[in-house]
Amino acid sequence: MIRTNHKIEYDKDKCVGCKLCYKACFVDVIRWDEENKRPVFQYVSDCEHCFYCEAVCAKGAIKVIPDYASERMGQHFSQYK
Amino acid sequence: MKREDLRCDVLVVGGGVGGLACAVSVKEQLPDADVLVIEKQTAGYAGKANRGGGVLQYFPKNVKPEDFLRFHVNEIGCYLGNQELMLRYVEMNTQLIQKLEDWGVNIPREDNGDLRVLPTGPFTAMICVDLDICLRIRRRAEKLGVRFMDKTTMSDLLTAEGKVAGALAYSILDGTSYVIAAKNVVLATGSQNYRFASMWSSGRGDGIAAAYRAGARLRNVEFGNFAQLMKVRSHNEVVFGENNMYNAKGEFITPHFRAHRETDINSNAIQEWYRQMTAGTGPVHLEFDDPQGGNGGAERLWGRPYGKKFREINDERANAVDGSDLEVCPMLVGEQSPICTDIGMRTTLKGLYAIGDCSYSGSGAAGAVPAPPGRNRGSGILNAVFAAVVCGESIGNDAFAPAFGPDAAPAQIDAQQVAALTAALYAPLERTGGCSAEDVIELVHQAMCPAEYSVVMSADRIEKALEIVLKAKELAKTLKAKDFHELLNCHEAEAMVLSAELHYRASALRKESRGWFLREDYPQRDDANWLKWIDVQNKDGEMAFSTVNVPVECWPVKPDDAVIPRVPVTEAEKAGPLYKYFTRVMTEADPAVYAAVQIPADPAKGLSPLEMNRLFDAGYLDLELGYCNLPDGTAMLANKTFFPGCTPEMFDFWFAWHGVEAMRYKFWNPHQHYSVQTLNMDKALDRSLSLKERYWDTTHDVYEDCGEGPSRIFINFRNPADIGFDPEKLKDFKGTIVCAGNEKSPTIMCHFMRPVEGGCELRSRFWIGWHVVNGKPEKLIPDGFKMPLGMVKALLMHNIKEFTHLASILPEVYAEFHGDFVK
Repeated sequence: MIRTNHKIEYDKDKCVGCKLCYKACFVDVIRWDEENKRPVFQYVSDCEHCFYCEAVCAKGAIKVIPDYASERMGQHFSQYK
Repeated sequence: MKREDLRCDVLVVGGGVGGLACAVSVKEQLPDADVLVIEKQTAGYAGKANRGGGVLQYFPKNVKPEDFLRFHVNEIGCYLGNQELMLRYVEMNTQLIQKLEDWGVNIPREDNGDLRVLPTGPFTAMICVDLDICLRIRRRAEKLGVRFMDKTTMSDLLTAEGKVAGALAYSILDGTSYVIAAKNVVLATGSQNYRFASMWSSGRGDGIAAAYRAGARLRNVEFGNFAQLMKVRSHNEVVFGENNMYNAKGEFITPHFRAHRETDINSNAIQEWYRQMTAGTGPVHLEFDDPQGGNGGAERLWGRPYGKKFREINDERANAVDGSDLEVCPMLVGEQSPICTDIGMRTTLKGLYAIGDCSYSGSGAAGAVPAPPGRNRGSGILNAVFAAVVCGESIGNDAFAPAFGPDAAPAQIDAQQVAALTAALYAPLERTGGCSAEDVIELVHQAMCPAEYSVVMSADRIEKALEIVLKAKELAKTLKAKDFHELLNCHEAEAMVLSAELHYRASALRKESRGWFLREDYPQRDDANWLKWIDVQNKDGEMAFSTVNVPVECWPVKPDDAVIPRVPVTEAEKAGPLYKYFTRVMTEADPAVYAAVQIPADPAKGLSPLEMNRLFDAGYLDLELGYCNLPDGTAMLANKTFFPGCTPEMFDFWFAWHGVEAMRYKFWNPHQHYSVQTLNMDKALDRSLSLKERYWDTTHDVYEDCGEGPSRIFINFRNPADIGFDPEKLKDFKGTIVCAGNEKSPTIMCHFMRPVEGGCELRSRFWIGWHVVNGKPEKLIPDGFKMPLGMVKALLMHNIKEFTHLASILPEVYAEFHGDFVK
């Protein structure tokens, strides 16, 4: 999907810098700050809400909040009314 | 921009399940080979296998590969599949599963060591695998010495001296370009899914586009339009939801497009959604008896500790918005997988191999269906592993010592080519004005996503969609990027434009419907003209399309004896005078006839059997071709067939004559009529009676397939005056009425034939849910019950088929046999 409005909540206090969220992202939403050993949620507008970053985080530092309504289904619903 | 030159023996592009399995396989074949995997994200986490259903197709021990092949060819691949490849895939099933286990993948087994198996469809079952499958294979590969470069994406293939010599790649983090010299390149870059459906979003067709640009042949590009039913709120897919579709009126609509549970979703389900919506009876929703309905079922097999949390989060977030709303609509997935290979996964470019979802259709494995899943759940992962293993063997066989290893000479690189491709690669970074990747993808989505464009196709809509694609193509010339993430998005957007254009150009060529491929304007499969693959190659920047005959004559399952198998005949029947009719190719109805009966007709247009005498009226009734429920819940069908050169007497002869001998019924419809036996032989052979009297009040005990499998039917022929036709009108009637029905039978049949110019016109009516009591039709089903229409539609198709054929042979049969029968 493109041009969606999903959000990612990140709690830096819980994060231990394991880098798994960065590796798990399959669409390059998350970059890695090598200096501070912390994720950077740089391209959130490309998030596909696969929830992998959240699921692999052992510390519960990440929550993905999808805005499903911002995803369009690509069908011409209006023509059927 | 920084540039690094690298070299390896085998470059694997893509770190999903196929690429990883291939890297391992190559190392197993050639331990000294230097194998490098580049992955644009992170190998082991990338791709689809670890985000998908996590199921593996399994063939139980009692399934013979050739039996599955026959099933697949007929029901799924529809003769476009490479049968040799499919047979090998089935034969290697347990070997592939064993390999995965050897590589460290967890696969659940019972206490006795047997695989834990969930039976699913005809001939197949599923086993499941945890979603860390790719991580485990990556670990195995690393142990074997495979090198990995993550966050590195290929932009183009390099060629030199008529073969592939490596690839040009770049880092999506810092933009460094890598000129990788490789003796062999394996593309494992996934299918084209247009960055639309979330779970499939990693397949963006960039490997397909690179192969095309380098001159590799593509095949089956028109089979890249997979769509699945999704909930409209959360956009979560509902696997097998097509079995439980209802329209806004609460009508169960699944029977409109399938008579029995099938292996998986087919494009007819998408077409049914489209028809309901256009008829104003949408939206479509699902209803389940089982609250777990619609799930693939893998959770019942195994909790899968690694993937469990990920699934739970997904369900929780989606359920929060879905609530009890089960409205669905089609969502484009795509799955164009067209890089053409031989059965060793070799592309048409020397040194280039393609495996998994970038060549699933192109290898011919899938047939006339987008893949994966290709109506074959669990085949995605296993096909990737299969292709990877086969590819590893090919690379092993194709290698000539000392082609590989540290002492062998590196592949030659064409410096001029590298310079030109590098300039093109970074061009979007140089532009100051222009469009974003999203601007282009937006147009691609407009062209590809609507069901009536990409799935339920027609010439005019293909043209409209192609216009949008060409706009996107024009816009893509101005793509700009401000960083390397955006640069990747730009390259992917270009690949999407290419795939979409290929899809519509090839779809315009295929003037038939076959398997998943659906053309409203050509609804029938056309084996005479389209037992062909559509291939396309880049020739100096132009799309050069060509067709290749599918070599079915070389393979075990051939259309003549297998697409529609003929009923068995005895040796005596073969030696008899009727066999020449039995072996004829059945005359096909005009495709427009079938096209006209794809959806139920308006009930208001139906004819109740209580009004059967309206058939005597001059002209035509509202519904002469079609089927529907009547307002009282019963069902009817109508069919009109022209019998050139035929008389009503010939028609009476036919019904008096054919019940005497099974072969007479068989040759009427050699695909569906198994036998007939009149229960009133004395009457049938009584030459003192008129032709009508020889079949009136007799019963034929027939065994035939009316579209839902063979069944035994008793047809009790009657005098039309005894089922409700007006005796006064019958007196003056110049035609004939062959009808059946009694108190016990739940169907009234009527073949009303009248002379017209040049022959006769047959108007058939079946009233289902009615019987005959005291000489009149009476409704048999309880009030409030509505007959399902799947069987009615199947019966109509059967009726069209057999009467079209009978019309073409009856005068000849009559001329040959009538004399003996009456004298």
